[in-house]
Order: sequence, then structure tokens, then C-alpha cells
Amino acid sequence: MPTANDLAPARQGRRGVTLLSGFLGSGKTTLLRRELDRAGDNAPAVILNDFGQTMVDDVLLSVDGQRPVALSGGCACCTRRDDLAQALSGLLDAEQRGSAPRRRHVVIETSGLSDPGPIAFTVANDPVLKHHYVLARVCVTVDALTGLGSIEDHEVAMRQLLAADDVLVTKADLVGPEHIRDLVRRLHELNPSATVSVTASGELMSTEAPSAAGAGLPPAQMPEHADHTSGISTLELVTDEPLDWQAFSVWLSLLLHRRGPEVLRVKGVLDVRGVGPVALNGVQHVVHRPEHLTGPVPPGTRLVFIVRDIDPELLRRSFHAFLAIN
Amino acid sequence: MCGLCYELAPDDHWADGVLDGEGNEFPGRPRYRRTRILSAVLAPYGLTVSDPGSGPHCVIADRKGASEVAAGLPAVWQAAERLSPRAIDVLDPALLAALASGGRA
Repeated sequence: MPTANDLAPARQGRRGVTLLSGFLGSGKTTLLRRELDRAGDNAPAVILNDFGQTMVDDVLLSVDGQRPVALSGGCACCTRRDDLAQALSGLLDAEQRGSAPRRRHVVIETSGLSDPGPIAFTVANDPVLKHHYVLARVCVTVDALTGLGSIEDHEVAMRQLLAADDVLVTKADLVGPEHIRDLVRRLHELNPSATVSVTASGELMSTEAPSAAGAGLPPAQMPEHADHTSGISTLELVTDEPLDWQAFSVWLSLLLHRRGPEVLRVKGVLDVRGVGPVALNGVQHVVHRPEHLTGPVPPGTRLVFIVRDIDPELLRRSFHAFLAIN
Repeated sequence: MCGLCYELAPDDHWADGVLDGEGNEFPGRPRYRRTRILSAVLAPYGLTVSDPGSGPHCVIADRKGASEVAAGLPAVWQAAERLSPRAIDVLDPALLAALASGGRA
């Protein structure tokens, strides 16, 4: 999970929002408690969502006696989606009234059954909230013991993993190092664009950078596409020449308009002609505002797609056909 | 909403979040380029795209004279779907073939 310092520079004065997701019992609250303890005075505001009617974790996550905003009895991605928007608005109101300190960051701990995509959509598209909040990261916990089984058996666990910018393997002290190595490798295969960190009792043990796109590794280190069960494929689109932003944006917007539910994740760095490097990040049909990068970035475009029931080769052909329009 | 013409402004869209370098030197060129690309994509579906040159919108029309005003890419695709009997899809082999042959359907 990002540290308090990582969370600080929310873009354009808006408050950064970190989604902390992960399947039931995967250690989200334990991790968040440790993070809040470490953050001290810089602790973010917390919104806690639980599927059950009876909330217990809000007591555990109290900061200076203030309990987090609790949304119980449903998931913030569906039945409690309006409540989530109201909770975020409520934080703004409390700041305005002076009844709560201004927090530069908000952590939303989702229920174990929530799909991060619709929650990201709420933050990015609500007519009021989008001017005050910006989605910073999607962090997803994976239980070292049972996580892989959950991902294979439950679609929502797979959707959580594919939406992740940071995957946090929890309870690593309960399994052997070989098991952890295999698990990390498998998680990288499933979501090559995510950083995978290993934790035990909320303490960070190791971190591995993304295996593609975000790290700018050469394509040889990334399989062209790997087929997974249930029709999910990973594809990396690479161009060495700077691309035309208008052609690319027309292509991606039509792809998401027509096949948004089948595009589970898109993430990467584009080399835009006349502009330079631009980071692009999308969860399902929600694409965040692209970010101009100023630091050193390897030349060329590397874009990772995780799709369901889409022929990766056809997608690649379509991408290049649009970029070739004169 | 524009205070002069009362035109509703389109929602913020990620596609408008990159400042095209060409726009600094030649204002209007990115907009021209987008219209040109949209025309190439929608031509195989029997649709045309024209840019009135002011405001954030363009006009999508079919060959029978029906037309719709659309502001922003999402609205363009919605209008095109209403005007075209065929589903408009980036993975449509007929579209890819038309683009490969320089726009001839």
C-alpha cells in the first residue's frame, strides 16, 4: 500500500482516493490499521464499506477517536453506490464546516465482494465529486493461503485483481517462500501492469515492479499474450514510433463504447507525437484523465490490455489499423 | 453551458486531456485531424462527419439526409449507432478492411 508520503501529491489540488479492495478475509483491514498507525497526523480519511449489516471494523480503524465513515449492508459498487457518493460529499461538508481536518487523501476500503470498476466510475464521473477527488491507486490484497483459489473460483476476485495498480500479498508468514514465489509469478502473469508486494502482519517484506508497461521493460520479457481460463487474455501493444493522439483516442473510445465490459484493464505509457510520454490508466470502461509525464521514460508506447472474450490478435490489428489512418 | 449561445458543453472526457503539440503551432489542426479520422471510421457505415467550425460539436449524417449533432466522442458513437443499421465496432473486419484499403468500403 502506498505510504502517506506517496499519497500526498494529489493532482490539481484534488484529494487523492485510494481504493483498497480484496476478496473476503484477505487482510484489508489489518493492512489499513498498520498504515494508519504509521501515517500518524497525515492519516487519510477512511470510508469503510462492509457487505454485512453489522460493522465491526470501524472501531478498529478509528483515528484519534474518530471513526471512519461506515457504509454497511451492501457493496459500494452497487447497492451502496449512492451512499458512497454521499459519504465523499459528507467529508467535504465536514471540512467546510470545520468539524473535520482537511485530509489530502481518502482511503475507501471496499467490501470483499465489491468490484472496483463501478466505484472508480463514481469517483471519476460524479458531477460534484470529480472536481474534488481523483482516483490515485487501486490496491488489492491477495491472501497468500487462499487468494489464488478465490481468484480462480470467484469472478469478482479476478476483477479485483485485474483492476489493481498494487497487489499486496498478505499473510506471507503462513506459507513457505517457494509458495510465495509461485504466487507472485502467477499474479504477475494475470496482471502484468501491477506492482506485487508481499506482506506479513501488515509489514512489507518485498516488492516487485510490474512485469510490463508501467516498468517500461522490453517486450521480450512479456509474453505476447497469455491465455487464461474463462476467456481472459493479456495483450501488450507496442509501437516504437510516436503515435497520433487523435487516432488513438478515437480508437480507444470506440473500443470502450462498444466493448467496455469486455475490457477489464488498460494501462501503460504512450509516446504521443508532439507531446511526449503520457500515462494512461483505465479500469473497465472508466479511463482516468491521462497524465503528462515529466520524468525519464523509455521511448515508444507500451500499453497492456486485459480483456475477456476478445481476440487479442484482432485487437492488435485494429490498433495498428487506426494508427495508420492518414 | 455557453453564456452566449446556450450550447450545452460536453462532459470532461479523457480524450480531451492530452494537449496535442500540433495545436500550439496550428490551432484547429487537432480538431481537423479528429474529424478526418472519424470520417474514415464512419464512412464504411454510410455515415459522414462534418465540422461546423464553432462550438464543441460535429454533425453525423447518413445518406438519406438524417443527421444528428454530437458534442464529444461518446455522443458521436451514440449518434452513429442510431443512424447506422450496423453496429460500429473497432473489431469489425469490414471496417479494418476498409481502413487498410484507404477508406474504400
